[in-house]
Amino acid sequence: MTSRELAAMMKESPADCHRTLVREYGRYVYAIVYNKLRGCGTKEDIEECVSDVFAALFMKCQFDLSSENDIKSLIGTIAQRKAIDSFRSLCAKEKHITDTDEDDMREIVSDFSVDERVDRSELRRVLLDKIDELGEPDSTILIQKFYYNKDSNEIARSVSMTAGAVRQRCARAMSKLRAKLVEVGIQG
Amino acid sequence: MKDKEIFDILENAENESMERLIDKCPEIPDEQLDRILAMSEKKFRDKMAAQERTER
Repeated sequence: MTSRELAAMMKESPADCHRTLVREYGRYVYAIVYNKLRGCGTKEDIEECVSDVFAALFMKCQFDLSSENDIKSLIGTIAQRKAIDSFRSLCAKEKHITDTDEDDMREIVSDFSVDERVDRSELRRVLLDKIDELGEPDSTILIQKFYYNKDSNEIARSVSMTAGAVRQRCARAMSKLRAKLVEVGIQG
Repeated sequence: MKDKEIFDILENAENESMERLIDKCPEIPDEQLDRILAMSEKKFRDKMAAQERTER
């Protein structure tokens, strides 16, 4: 969607424009917010933050879209900022603040038993590569099960399989993934 | 390490990794999107009202 299309929609009907934005970008915003809050927030905290993102976007639509060419990028930036604000506030509330990112990284790197020089970003890339190597639908099943915390019935609907087949594929795919991680020096 | 713990490393992803995770994000059910829309509209109306009060 371009800013011109968005401005035209806002002129026609702000309420319809808001609905379209949530329908079109809801999943995108949810994924960004979820990535930041999955370890410290509840489902309600995540929805609260997603709605903060859209409220901020509606304000932007109401007053100033003239400088925005790429709406998706604008939404991504708002989502990142709001997710970080929400993460800080939730951590402070729960007294979970765990020093700096570097300390965090050392802990995770040590959990994975990999060379300390490998940074977290590289570790993420390697893990995603290894998951992708499993092919579809296994990569989607693993990500939805262990990262997005979906149950077998929910995953079954999204990959058009039975819940039993999802459970079976999931167990096999996880064993394959562990073997692949061991090959690259990550002891899962 | 438990299966789920391996995936904790995917938190705080940036650019390319984030895009890959977005691609695998499950569809959000309509009722959840409706709830999010209602919450967003309320926050938006509150922000607008606050802004009008400051401008007065």
